Amino acid sequence: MIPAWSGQQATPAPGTGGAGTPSAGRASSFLGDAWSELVHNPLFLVSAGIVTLVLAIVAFPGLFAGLFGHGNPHDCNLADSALGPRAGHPFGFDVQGCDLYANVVYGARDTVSIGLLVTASSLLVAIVLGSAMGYLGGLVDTLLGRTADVFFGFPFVLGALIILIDLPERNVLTVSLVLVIFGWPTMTRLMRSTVLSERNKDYVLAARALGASNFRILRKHILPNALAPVVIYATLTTGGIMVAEATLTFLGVGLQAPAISWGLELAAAQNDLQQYPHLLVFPGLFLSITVLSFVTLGDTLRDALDPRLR
Amino acid sequence: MGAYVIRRLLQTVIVFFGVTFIIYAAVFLIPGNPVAALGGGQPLAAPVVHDLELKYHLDEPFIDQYGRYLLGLLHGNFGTSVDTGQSVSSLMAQAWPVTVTLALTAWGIEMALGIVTGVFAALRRGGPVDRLMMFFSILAVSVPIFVAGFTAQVLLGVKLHLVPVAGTQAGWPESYLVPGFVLALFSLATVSRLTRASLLETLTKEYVNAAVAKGLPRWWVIGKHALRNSIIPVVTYLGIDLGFLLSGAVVVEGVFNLPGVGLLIFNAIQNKDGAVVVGVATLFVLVFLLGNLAVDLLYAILDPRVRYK
Repeated sequence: MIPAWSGQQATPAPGTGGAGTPSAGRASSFLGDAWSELVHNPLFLVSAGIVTLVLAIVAFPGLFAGLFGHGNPHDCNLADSALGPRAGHPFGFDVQGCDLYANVVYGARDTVSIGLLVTASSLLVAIVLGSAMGYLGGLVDTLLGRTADVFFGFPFVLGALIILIDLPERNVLTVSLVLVIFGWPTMTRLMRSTVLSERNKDYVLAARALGASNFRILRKHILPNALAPVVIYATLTTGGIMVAEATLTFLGVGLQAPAISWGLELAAAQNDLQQYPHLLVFPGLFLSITVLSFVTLGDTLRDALDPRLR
Repeated sequence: MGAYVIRRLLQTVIVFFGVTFIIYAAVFLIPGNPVAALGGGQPLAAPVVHDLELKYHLDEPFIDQYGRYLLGLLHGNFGTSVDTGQSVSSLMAQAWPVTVTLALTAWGIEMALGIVTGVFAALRRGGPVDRLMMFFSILAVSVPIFVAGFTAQVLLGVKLHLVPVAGTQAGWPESYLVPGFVLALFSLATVSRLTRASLLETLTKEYVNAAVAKGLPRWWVIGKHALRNSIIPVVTYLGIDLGFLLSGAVVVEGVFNLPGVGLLIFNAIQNKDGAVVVGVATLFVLVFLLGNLAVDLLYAILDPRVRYK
């Protein structure tokens, strides 16, 4: 999984030297520098390791849930209601008598999926719209810019709250969609300003003089040079999205049972918090460590790939 | 300056229309017929339906209804609670002081602690305060505000009996300090990092060297020369943050049971009282917009370069 992550992050990097400058050798050494800086950074290794583990849990929850006890999040016995940690059930049971460890393991999927889905979709929207705004300018820029202003007019969670409370059914897809609606403007603005600063550089003018079409210039020349900041920003926001999911679910406008997510587990814990703190501690710990790892991973990648953004 | 102010005002007006349109469309274009809902599942007679549609202007085109809603907003009419029948404006008027007190408490905490720790972190780069704030700022992003709130409530209120567990009976500051601190956590970290970065950059400027070379004492150079110039982005952030504190208050007031505007939304969500949610959220968004406008205009006065962007 580490190579997958670094590969995804590295995509823009070859272009940072490669497409713009004629020397391809410098590009690979830039990547090599970044890579050797990363593998010697303990923060990166630890956070990448945890992120890999979390992604493995998301992909194969059954494997991990079976490590302790029966491992079935839906196998509940009311006689066990809210019992604390004990042999075979390291996290104890929730109020319904379900094994908390199995629930925390299965809860990773929805929370992390929302984080990744919202980040990836916002990134895609930002790359398409941001390039169009920055490169074409004019009416496109004005119209999309004013539209983005409107969505900026909402404090983040509040905007999502207004839409979500009206939705009759809320699942991973609808919650993600609403978060994207209020999340794209920041990334789009970043993408627009990067493209804008690349647009009139010599290598773009040279490509145009050679008769390249707008689309080709954008795709082959500008994009590889303009992707790094927005991709790095995206990795930094993934953790924040997961926190937003948990917060919206806590407020009662996020995911709904019978879905299993960390947000739902934390929301369910609030009523019995004083008697049964383990209900809050275990999902809270998993959520916080996951978010912490995603944020740290983004941080170390940023430092290695683009020192200017520090 | 004049052209900038006019451009910025126009932008706010456009955003105001866009924002209210989205809110209105979200609420009134949802599936479900409000008139049928009044019948409680029983079919209503055609004349009754017709009368109700006339009364609530449901027979008008969407854009007319939206215009009516805008006019209401301008008159301070934020809708009527379906649950209690009270007007949302009067509900908000009762609850508003609690939220303002909470937000200002949080604001004061993040301003004082954030700037002081930021300055310390910048002056002793890599030192204990710097490292602690670095760790704290990542932690503040990773722990959801309600988890932090519950933890503080159980530890400080229930176990140690240092502060009231919930409610506002004890008044300011006892009832507001812990909720205020929890509300401020996220921004406190940001203010600290922002102050640190900005001060570090300013300290490399030549006029700072000149002041040191003149033999001025260190605290004078930092306080009088460097800090003054590096505080502008921090002030901007603090201005914008007031709007975010309001939406954070929804969670914090829910956790600590403070009877403010946030708790109003919080309870309305649990009771599925959409009118109250939308009314209060609309007011929050308006406060947020006006706050951003004020910050931008103030910034343009403080820093003339902004106007020519």
